[in-house]
Amino acid sequence: MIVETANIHHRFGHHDVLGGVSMQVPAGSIYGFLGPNGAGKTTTLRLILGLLKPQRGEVSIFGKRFDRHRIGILKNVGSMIESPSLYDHLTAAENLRVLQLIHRCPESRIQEVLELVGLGDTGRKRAKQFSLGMRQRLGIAAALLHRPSLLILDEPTNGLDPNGIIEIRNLLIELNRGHGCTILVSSHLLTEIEKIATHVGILGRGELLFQGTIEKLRRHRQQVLSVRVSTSDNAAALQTITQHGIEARLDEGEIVLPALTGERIAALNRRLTMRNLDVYEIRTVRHDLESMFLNLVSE
Amino acid sequence: MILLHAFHAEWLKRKRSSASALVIAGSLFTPAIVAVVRLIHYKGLPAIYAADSFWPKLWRASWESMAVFFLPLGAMLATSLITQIEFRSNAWKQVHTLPVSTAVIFLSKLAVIVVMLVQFLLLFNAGIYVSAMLPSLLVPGVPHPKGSFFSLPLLRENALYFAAALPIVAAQYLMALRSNNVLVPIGVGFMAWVGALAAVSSNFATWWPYSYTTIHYLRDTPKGAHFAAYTSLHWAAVGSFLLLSAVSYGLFVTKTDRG
Repeated sequence: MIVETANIHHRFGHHDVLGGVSMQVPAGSIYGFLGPNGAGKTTTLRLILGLLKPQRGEVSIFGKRFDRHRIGILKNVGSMIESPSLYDHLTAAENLRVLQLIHRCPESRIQEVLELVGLGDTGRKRAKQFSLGMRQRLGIAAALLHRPSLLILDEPTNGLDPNGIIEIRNLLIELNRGHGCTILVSSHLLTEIEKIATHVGILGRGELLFQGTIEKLRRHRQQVLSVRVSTSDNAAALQTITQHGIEARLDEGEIVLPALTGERIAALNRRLTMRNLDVYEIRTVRHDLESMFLNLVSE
Repeated sequence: MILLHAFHAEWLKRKRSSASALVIAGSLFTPAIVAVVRLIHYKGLPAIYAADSFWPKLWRASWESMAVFFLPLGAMLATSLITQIEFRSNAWKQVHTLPVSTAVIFLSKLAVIVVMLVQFLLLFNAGIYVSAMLPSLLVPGVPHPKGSFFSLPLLRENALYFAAALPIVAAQYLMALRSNNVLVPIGVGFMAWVGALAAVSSNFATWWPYSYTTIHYLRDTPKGAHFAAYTSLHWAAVGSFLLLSAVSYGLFVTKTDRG
């Protein structure tokens, strides 16, 4: 595991923010850290990076205890927590130069990462003149500057336009697949995480409600929840269906049935057509990830 | 080595900052006023420039406003503004996730402020020299000043003023590291300076580090005769600086929320 938290707790005053989070981020993964606003995602990431001291529990990165190997670990970690940290009176290149002096990476890397995030031609423009999207890109460039093997990004697509979101998404995928960089990325948007993550952790009310591969989450999604039927005479069709012992009801102009096997759906279709009812549509309703996410965090 | 790189990075942050502008404006203000006043009232200049005491008198006159006003307030404002760059830029979280120790973070920033104080004094000295030379270059009949600027005890006097200003730097640094609102260190520092002005009429001022630059200036004057016997002023200043810096570091390193 690249990142491992063992039962970390955190409380602000009398309010428990995290109640024992044990997160495991495998090497080479893109770990999507999901949760609604206020769930404790940022607090967890700040604890992982040592910006907050854990009140209970342990954080390990690259297999080493963070509190004992802080400097060695941070040499290989790039991060952006909440909004980007930018010196408004400096240009994009100067902002990166401040970090390059500490990381001791080649100076040529500054222009390289600026090009990578699409800020290669900002020249003498100061950061205070940057749009929200440009600031976000510069924050990501700062995190990438020293070629970290672990990237921790907190809501990196905030403030980006759809095109910018796609670019950052592709950049993260490229960093992960092309350079083997492990990425821990938080978001409150499931659709966003679903497109890039190999692993997912869902945080709700300070607890990890789900953790596993994206396939595991998708398998859950494949489960058929219900069958919806639309015919030329739904009232007559409903009567036919219930006569055959299937619980059904009308909902928004459709007949809603519980999950059925393929054979039973075919038999039902034959029965309806034999009653001279025109069947317009029979469709299965599966787990929608969004509703599943909402169910998890609201349970 | 890493301290040097961290210092370089911190030095870059002050580029185009209000603290940098303040160092230039604050250090050159008095010399500029002196030069302008002399150019306006140029008629009496030949006698002044021919006097043996030209340089010592100019030195004392220039230091009057600097010791009482610009140096303590400049140190207070520059320290607060430099430290507040991280709060204003929302950058403490970035600083604390860099692969450097907390001691390096603390010392590199403090070192930049101390070097800016040196820069302030150097510019002020250069300003005094230029303010003296301008009238003799621009006004016909005004001779080159008698004596040499470099015959003044420049190194000793600058070193003593520098030492006297150090406790203000340390106190402001402590406050600015603790508060995310720049008005807090500036407001408290300003009140401390006003308190110092009120205290200089008594010996209590020797216990108040914000008054040390004023005491250093006043003790050669009748107004500050009661400080003449107080010879350990600069040791007290250096001691306060070290003590306040140690407290400041202790609070900085034990901070649980680092951005």
